[in-house]
Amino acid sequence: MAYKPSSDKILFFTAGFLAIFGLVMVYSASSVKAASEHGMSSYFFLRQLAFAAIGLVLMYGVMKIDYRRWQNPRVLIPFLSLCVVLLLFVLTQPAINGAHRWLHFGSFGFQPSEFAKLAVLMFVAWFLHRYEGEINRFSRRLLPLGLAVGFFAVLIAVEPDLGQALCLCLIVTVLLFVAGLSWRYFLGAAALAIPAFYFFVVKVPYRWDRIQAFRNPFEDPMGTGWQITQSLIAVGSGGVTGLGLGASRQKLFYLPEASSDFLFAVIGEELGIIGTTLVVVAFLIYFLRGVRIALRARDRFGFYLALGITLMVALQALINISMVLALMPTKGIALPFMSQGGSSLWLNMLATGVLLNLSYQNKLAEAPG
Amino acid sequence: MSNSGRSSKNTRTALVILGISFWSLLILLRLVQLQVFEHPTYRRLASERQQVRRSIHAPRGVIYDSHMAELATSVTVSTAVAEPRRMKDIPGTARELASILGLDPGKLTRRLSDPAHRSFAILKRRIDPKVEARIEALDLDGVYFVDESMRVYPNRDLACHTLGFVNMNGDGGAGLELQYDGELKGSEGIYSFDVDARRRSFRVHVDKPPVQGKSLVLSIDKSIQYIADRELAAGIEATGAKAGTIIVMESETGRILALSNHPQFNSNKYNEYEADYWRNRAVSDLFEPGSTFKVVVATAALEAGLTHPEEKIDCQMGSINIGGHLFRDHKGYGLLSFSQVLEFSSNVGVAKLGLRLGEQRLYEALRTFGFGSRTGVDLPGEIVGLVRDWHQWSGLSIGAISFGQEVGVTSLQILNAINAIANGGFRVRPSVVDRVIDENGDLVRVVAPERERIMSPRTAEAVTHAFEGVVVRGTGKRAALEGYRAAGKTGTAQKIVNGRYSPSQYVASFIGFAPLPQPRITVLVQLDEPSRGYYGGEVSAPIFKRVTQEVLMQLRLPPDPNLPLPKLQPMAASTQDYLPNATPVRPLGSFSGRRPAGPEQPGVLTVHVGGDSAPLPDFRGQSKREVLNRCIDIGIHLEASGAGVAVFQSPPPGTRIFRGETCSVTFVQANLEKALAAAEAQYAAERADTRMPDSRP
Repeated sequence: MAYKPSSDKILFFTAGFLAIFGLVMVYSASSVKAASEHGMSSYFFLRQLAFAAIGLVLMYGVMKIDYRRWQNPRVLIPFLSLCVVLLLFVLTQPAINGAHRWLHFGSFGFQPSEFAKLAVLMFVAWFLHRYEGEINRFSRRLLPLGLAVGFFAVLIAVEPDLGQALCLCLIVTVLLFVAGLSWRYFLGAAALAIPAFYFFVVKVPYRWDRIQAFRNPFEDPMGTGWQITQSLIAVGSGGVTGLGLGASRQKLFYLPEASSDFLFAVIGEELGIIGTTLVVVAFLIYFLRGVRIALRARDRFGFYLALGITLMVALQALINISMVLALMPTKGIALPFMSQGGSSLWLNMLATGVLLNLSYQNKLAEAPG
Repeated sequence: MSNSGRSSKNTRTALVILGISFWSLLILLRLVQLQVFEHPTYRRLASERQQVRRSIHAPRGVIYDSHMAELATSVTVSTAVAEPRRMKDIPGTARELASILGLDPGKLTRRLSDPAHRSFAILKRRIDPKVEARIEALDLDGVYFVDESMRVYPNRDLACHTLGFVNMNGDGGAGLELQYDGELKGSEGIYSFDVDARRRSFRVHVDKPPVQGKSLVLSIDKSIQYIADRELAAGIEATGAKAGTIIVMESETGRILALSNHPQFNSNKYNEYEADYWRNRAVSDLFEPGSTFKVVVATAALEAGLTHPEEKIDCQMGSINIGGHLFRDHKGYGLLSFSQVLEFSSNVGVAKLGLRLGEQRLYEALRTFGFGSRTGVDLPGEIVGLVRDWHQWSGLSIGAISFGQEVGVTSLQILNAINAIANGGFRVRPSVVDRVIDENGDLVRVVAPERERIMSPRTAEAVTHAFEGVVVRGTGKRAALEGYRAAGKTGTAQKIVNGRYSPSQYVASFIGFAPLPQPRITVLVQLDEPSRGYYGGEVSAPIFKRVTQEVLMQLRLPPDPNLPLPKLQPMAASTQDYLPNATPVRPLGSFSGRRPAGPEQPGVLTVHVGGDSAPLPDFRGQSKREVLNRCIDIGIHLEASGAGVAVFQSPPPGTRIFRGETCSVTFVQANLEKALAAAEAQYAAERADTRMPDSRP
């Protein structure tokens, strides 16, 4: 019987589990808001279901594309250029909640920043593959890479979406660390971070408020501490078994963004520590399978791309959860696969499609004969 | 690509895996902290924010007479309250409110402007429904109404000392309302609204259902109570007495059928009277009994075999020296039989019987009759009286005590002593409450009569015979009934004023029972300081006669065939005037003492109906207050039974009813859902400005 290589099933099912679990929780968390705003409790759920279906098709499609195609400049350069154009164009769009993040097609909003992240990761993977071992050459290698990534980060940050920008920088930094970037740069960056923190956080009142709220949420529970207080109450009141699926009370306008950024809090309230642990473990499995794929990659491009995608999903998940649990100050970062929103879901599914193709290619190479 | 470089990269990849794993572990630990260890704290915080708790009023139980007529019931009334911070124009609003509520506009403006009352001020309690409607019509900001329960005594003064009253806080303040407060009151329930962050309620649940108060069914009979009240008032009027008491007791059981004290008070407006008026003199006041106390010596001497009914006792022409003190009779007698000693109430004769008994046996006898200890009646404020131990008696005590001096007793104690003769030798425990029932009328418990034999039937019979002689031939002739045989004893005691027996202030009493040979009731009539006549046989006996005569007829006891028929016809017409065919709830105007002096003040029942008659509205589904208001509006009387929502009415809706006629309506407890729905609506009105922020950017 002929050996028939397949992609990583565990990764596939983990991603699928997270997406379906996410759908259920989005339905629960958004139903009241949907009923009050759209007169139909399944409004957001049905949208999200449609996104997930499209996402599945996208993932399947990307899974069939040999990942090595993504390092081809004829693919990568147009992709990057398109992202730049969209990121610039989105700034001209009317602001929603004070931010220019969405391109609108009818009632559907599309976030270019999500796709820019994948493009940048492909670029960085290509760069690290191309200049393997030369990364510590500052002016010839590190600076150009830094400028390129920084350019995208700035475009995202001015939307403003500082959370996404910082997240992108963090992923690239970890990739550079793995690529062998000298410790000196990390020390230097730390030295630069202190004044940057002062000017971009301490001096910006709403960010500083969030830091304060993070440190003492119950000091001003009706004001700056509102989000964190409500989030902690949701998670804490869930206890071990939770109030039951659909029984969240904090979703009744207590929790801001219950179905997106604070979805994890609703999970904690409705399903207790059983539900929350399940989510954390699922992300951990995703991460470990992703790293396994990276380590088995046939080339360095595959290694960095797989690691980048894995880190993107894992770091966003950890940051989002830490935020909900008041381990970090709140910053608008969605929970991958689960939070309500099409762009984020599509990105995660596309990226997973790339990972799955990597795993397929790895097995193909390992296959006997 | 060097090997060392590759291995360093693998080390760094391992560090990244380690870092992510460590971070995940940290999150898991945090979850354990929040969801396991701190879960109770957050659950509490959650319910504090997500729920609004309110109490549910538990209706107070009803007090019924022995025929289930309501003596005390509760109706819901409105209290006007203000939230001045929501008023746009305080002086203007205050002016409008003041004119309707009959308040001083200046004072009201100052009170509403006081920062201490920014969020809550009571405008006026227990306001008239019509006044409420007028204020509601103005649609003023920051003015609303809160339902409060008000105790209503439909018969006003009737049985006031037995019933007592309920104070402003809803606690029993006197009488049965105090004695049975725990059972009458029930317990408040708690319900909570689940509210969202916009303070909209979306679910109501009962955390603790209210427990409705239990109702009391008394042995008091409203008709008999009325007779006692009326005759006492008439007697006080006729004799100029300062105060007085009438008690009618069922001889066999000690159940009290009527207990009347003068002066009375109106339980509906108890706080317009001095606290002195609230006192139940029958159980709380101490007095020297005088000759009625002779029952103790007479009985004890018979029981001890120291005398017999036919024995002739030398009454020494009216004087006897005991312990160096000369005791006198009001008239000098020679030889009197045992019965005659009581008939003519000879102090000398009784003192001689007392001397035969000796101090210890006399002391034991009076304790056996219950003097010096509480009767155990279920009324508050009962005192034990004053009986000194025989070791502390002086040389003349034995004489004085024999005819009722040097001891302090309550009216109920002395009545209870005489009652032991009436029922053939039993000391009973007097009681006012017959049984306790729940809101459905089901029995909770019965107050069982308790009694104890304290003398032989023969002794009781001998004393009864002597007491009948008192009525037939002796000091109590004016107590004689028409058509019934009665027995009793007169008593005239000098009051002690400034440590000396007063020559002009007396307590005049008559205690008797009827009809012989099988007494049904024992009646005490006692007048404090009568000014026109002072002998018990002179002023109290006639009252005894009128009360007993009428009560026996009320009880439909056939007259003695051996006696001439009574001239009096059963149930005097005046009774029916006073008790308009058992109309427990009188129109509001007749009992509300805090009516505003507004232009619409309906001091008395006002009739708004145009013609002679009007079709009777359908009251079903309405509250007692609503029904009452409608009845006032169309000028008819309401005979209400039960509490809650009207379910049945007679005559039926649509019947043409003439004003002044009576409509009887049965109420049952409204179901909880309805009460909750109303509460929820009220909550919705209040919530407006207590909003929380929805979310923040």
